[in-house]
Amino acid sequence: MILLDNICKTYTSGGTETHALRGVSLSISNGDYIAVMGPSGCGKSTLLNILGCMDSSTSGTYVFDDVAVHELSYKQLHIFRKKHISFVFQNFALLNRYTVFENVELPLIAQGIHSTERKKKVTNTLEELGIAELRDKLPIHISGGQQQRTAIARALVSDHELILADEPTGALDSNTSKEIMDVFDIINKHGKTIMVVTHDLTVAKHAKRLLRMEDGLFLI
Amino acid sequence: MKNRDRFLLMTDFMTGRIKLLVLSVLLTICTFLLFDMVLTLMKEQSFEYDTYIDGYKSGIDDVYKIDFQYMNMTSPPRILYEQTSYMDFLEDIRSIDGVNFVCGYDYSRVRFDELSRSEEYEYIMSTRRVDELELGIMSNDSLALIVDDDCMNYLMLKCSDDYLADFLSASDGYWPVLAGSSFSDILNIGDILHYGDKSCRIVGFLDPDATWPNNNGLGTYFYKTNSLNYQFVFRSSDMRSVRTTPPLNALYMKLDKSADSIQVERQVRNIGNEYNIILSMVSVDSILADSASDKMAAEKMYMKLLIFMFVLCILTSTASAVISLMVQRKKIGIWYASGILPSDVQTMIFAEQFIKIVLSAVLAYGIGMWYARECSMTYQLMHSTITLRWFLLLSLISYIVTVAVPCAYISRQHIIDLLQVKD
Ligand SMILES: Nc1ncnc2c1ncn2[C@@H]1O[C@H](COP(=O)(O)OP(=O)(O)OP(=O)(O)O)[C@@H](O)[C@H]1O
Ligand SMILES: [Mg+2]
Repeated sequence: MILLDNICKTYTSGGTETHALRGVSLSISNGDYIAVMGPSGCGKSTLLNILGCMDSSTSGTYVFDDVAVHELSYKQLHIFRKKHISFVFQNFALLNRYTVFENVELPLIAQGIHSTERKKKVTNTLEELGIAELRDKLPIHISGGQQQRTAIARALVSDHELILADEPTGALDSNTSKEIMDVFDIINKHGKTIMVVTHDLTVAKHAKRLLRMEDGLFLI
Repeated sequence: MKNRDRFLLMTDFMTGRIKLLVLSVLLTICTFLLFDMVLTLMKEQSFEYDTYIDGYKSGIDDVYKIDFQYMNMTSPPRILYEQTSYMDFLEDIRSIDGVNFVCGYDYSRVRFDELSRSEEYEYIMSTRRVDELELGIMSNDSLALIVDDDCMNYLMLKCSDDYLADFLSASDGYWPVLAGSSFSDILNIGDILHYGDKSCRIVGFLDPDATWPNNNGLGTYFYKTNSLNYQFVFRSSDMRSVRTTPPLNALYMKLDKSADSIQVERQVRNIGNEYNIILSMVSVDSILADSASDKMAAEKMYMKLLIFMFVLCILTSTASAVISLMVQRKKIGIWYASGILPSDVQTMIFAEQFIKIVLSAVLAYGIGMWYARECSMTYQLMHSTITLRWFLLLSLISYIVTVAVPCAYISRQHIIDLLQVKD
């Protein structure tokens, strides 16, 4: 259960202030599947970054399963993120020198999981996402859709309750987008909480809830 | 994270840009090596000045009792008369019947001669006894300057005649000589030896592990060598001929108090002209003052160079560490997003810099050592002992800075920015 209350985010750069979020409130229950849409620059990524503990809000409260995330320090945010949150990015954010397997294995390494168990988990996840046969390939040798599946596998493998995806289909064609969103649907059916930012209504329609944002606020 | 995984990630971290790493290690080695060389040169230089100055000072104050002659049967002691020695060192050499026997050279270096004995050449170097050193006569070339008896008288130069006479009478007209320990089997105390036109008598033997001050251009140090066991040590000779030798082309003479130094200078010039030698005369005071100011100037210059090298070493190793982080920003961003913590990355920086600095320092120091051993005799002494602690200090400071700066750099990098870096 996640509660955002009156979250504001103001960027100050070069003397000018940008109010990216102007008091966003939102509650996300476990197993939720939310799509966020809105014009460019309305603050979607900012919201996602704050939710994902990659950034902290200027004001407002953010409670994640009884933890007051807004009170955490930079260091604690890293640790909190490591324990609870996974990401899927538009540009996949895969390490090009790692194989598919190694990319997916990375979060498990970070968590200090033993290599035999790691191997089992990664293999299972790769099979679930239908990319088991790509395990030894490098990201540059597979298609965009396969890369995004790899990135999703990496997000899934550590079994975090919250998965955040910032325009996960932004770099993919519509067919592949659909395949990827089908994957998200399945993941959500398995009980994961998902929040997807997108510009694409067909993508957004996969979600249970659609939120529209404009100028740092949700439209009701 | 498990240690093995940490090691794997560490390897990835280091090999992520292997060319850069190799380059930075090479660069660090080079700067460390340069630092090492400058430091060695600096130490060597100031040690030489110290030896020189101390030689003059102690020469004036306490050396005048010394009266010795050195002979080496095995090899020409060419290197033995290059420089003023620490005469204090000579005290522990024996004193027999109130006469000091020393193996040394130099203070009032007057003689380096060859005597032919059967087919062999032998080299004898002797010093003249000097009570006070008032003038140094410097010759700028390596030609010999022979000062004969008449000249000595005319210049009112003192030589060891008086002492010689005393001594000879005290020892029945024989030259006393200390023999190396290896001669103790074949010679006895009281045996007579003949060298050139001199008759010598063995008055004692050197200890098997006797030490002598030696000088090979580095300044004076003791050498304890087996070759001493094959040597004889004589008292000073009565020889008058003097010869200046490179590289320190100086001849020191003691003048009678009543001598007119201007007159002496003129006379010495005349001698010089006669033998085609350019001579200049300087007083000991001015030699000391010059040496001191030369030393200061050299030290200043080296110090500047050294500080520059120090800064350069730290800059290059730090810059390469930061650059290697910068080119890996994207990867670090992805690591962060996958749950690897900034502290993990900092540990990697610690470890990587440790490996890099230790490797560079060991290699640079090793190369310096090798160079000292194989290529430059003059480096040997200075290098290993004196520079080590400075070298360690440099490595330590380099390590601290090359860890602190990249850590500070990476802690300022926000994960969002890291992720947005283009490959
Ligand atoms: N680091 C930053 N410094 C200053 N301003 C920023 C920063 N990041 C975002 N902004 C500003 O905050 C506002 C919201 O940005 P955000 O990235 O959240 O938009 P977005 O809705 O994700 O847009 P898009 O759909 O183009 O990705 C924008 O006006 C943007 O310029
Ligand atoms: Mg965005």
